[in-house]
Amino acid sequence: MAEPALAVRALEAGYVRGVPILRGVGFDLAAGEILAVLGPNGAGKSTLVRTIAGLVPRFAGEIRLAGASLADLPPHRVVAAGFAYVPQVANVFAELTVDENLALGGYTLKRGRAERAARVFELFPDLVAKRQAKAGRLSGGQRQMVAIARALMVEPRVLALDEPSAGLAPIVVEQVFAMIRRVARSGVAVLVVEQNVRAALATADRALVLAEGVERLSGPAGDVAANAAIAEIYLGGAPAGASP
Amino acid sequence: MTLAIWLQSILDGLVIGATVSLGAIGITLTYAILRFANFAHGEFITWGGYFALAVLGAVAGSQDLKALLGGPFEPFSFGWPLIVATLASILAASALALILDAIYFRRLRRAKIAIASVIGAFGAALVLRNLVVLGYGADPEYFSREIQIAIRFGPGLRITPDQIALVGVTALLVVSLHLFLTRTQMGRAMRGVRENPDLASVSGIDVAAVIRATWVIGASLAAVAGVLIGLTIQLRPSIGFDLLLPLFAAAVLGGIGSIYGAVLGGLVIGVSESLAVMLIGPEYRAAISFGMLFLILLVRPQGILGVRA
Repeated sequence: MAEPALAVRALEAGYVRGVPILRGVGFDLAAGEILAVLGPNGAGKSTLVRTIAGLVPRFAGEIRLAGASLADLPPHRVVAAGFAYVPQVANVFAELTVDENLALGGYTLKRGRAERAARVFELFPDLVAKRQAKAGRLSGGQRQMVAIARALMVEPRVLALDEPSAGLAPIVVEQVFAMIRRVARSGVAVLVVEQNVRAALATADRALVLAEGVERLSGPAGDVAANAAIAEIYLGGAPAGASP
Repeated sequence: MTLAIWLQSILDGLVIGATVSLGAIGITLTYAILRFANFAHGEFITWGGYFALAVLGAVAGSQDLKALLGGPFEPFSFGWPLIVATLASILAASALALILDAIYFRRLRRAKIAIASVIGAFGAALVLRNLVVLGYGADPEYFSREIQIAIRFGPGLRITPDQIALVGVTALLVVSLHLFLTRTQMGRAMRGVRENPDLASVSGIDVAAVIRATWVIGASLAAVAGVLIGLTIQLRPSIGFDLLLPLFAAAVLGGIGSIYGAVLGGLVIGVSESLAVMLIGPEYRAAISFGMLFLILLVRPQGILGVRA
C-alpha cells in the first residue's frame, strides 16, 4: 500500500507539559482525500492541526508526512516539508497586499514564485482584480480565499484548514467548500477542522470526531453522519456504545 | 534677517532630526517586531560612534593605511578612512546587537514580564555606556579637529558640507530601507512577522532569522547615526543616553511601528528642539521632546502615522 500523505499515531500534545489536550489521536490521510475533524468546543480539534503545524509542543506520538517525520520540526520547516496550514482567525496578513500575502506563502520556494502565484491565481480568478489591495480590506469570503491561496503557494501535499466556514455567510461557505473539493481533486490531502458539521460531512470523504482530546468516532463521512452517537458527543453525552 | 534666523533654526533642527530619525527607526522596528522597548538602543549609537573612532585611530596610526586610504574628499572633512570606519562600525554594532540578544534580551523577552524587559534593557544600557567610559574616558572625542567652513546660501543660511552629507546619507538610508521592506522577501517577511508571527511561521518564514535581521538593521542605522554625530558634533559616552528620550518620543509621536513615522517624528523632534532653544532658551531643550510627545498624543493617540489598533 502506498505511503499515506499524512499519518498521525498516538499523538499527545498540549501547551503545558503534563496537561495534554490531545490524549492519543491517530489517523491516516491519503492524497486527494478530505478528512473532516469534528467535535464539540474544547475537543482538541484546533490543537491537533496546530500540533502538526509545529505550533503546539508534542509530548508523544508520531507525525509523518509521506513517510518523513515532522515531529519537533519548527513551523517553517513543517511548511517546507509540504504541510500548509490555514489558521482560523487572522489567517491573512491584513496590512499586506494580496500579492504580498502570496509572496510570503511562497517564502520557502527558492525560485518560480511568480509562476506559482500565476497558477494559484488561476484557481482564484476573483482575486486577480484585488492583487494590489490590502488583504484586510477584502470581504470575509475573499479573505478566506486569500488565506487558502497563500497556503497553496508551496504546492503542499497536505492542506489543513481550521474552521474555514467560521463567520461566513452560507453562500460563501458553499464557495469555500467547493474550493476545498477542487484542491483535493488536484491530489492534495485535505484536513478540515469544522464546527459546521453538516457542511463538513457533505464535503469530506471521511470524518474523525474528537471529544476531550480522544477519538470518539471515525469512518466514512456518510457513516459518521448517520451515526446517532454524533449528536450525543456534541451534547456532551455518554461515550458511544455506553448508553444505558 | 529675522526670517533667516528662523529658517536657520529649522535647518539646524532638520540636521539634528535626521540622526534622531535613524535611531528612532531602530527603536520602532525592535518594538514592532519583538514587542520590545529597547532602552539600550541609544548605546548602539554611542558604540557605533566609538567603533568608528577606534578604526579611524588605527588608520591614523598606520602609515601604510593612511597612504592607501588617502585624505579627505574636499570640501568634506572625511575621506575613505571614515567610510571604512563606518562599514566596520556597522558590522561591529550588528554583532553587538546579535550577541546581546542571544545572551540577554531573548531571555528577557521569554520571561514575558514587560517591566523586566524595560529595566533589563536600562541595565544593559548602563553597562554599555560605562564600558565606553572605561575605554575612552568621559571627555569628548572628535573625528577631525579641522574647522569646517560653512557654505552660505539663500537668505543668509549656513550649512557645512559635512551636514549636507549627513542629510544625504540619512535620506539614502531611509529610501533604501523603504525599498528593502517593500521589494525584498526578507522585507516582506519582516512586515509579516510584525503583523502576525504565528502566521508568518506557518507561511514558512524562519521568525528567528527575521528577528536577527531586525537587530542588524536597527543596530546598523544606529551605528551610522553615531558616526554622523561624531562627524558633525562630537562623541561623548553619554550621546546615546542623552538621545534616548528624543528617540522614543520620535518613534511614539510618529506612530510606533511605522518607519516613516519614526523619520517624521525625528524631524519634528529635531526642529522643535531647535526652535525651542531660540524661543525659550537652551535650558528647556530636553523638555521639548516630551512636550511635543504630549501635545501630539493628546490629539492623535496612535501617533502621526500610526494605525489605531
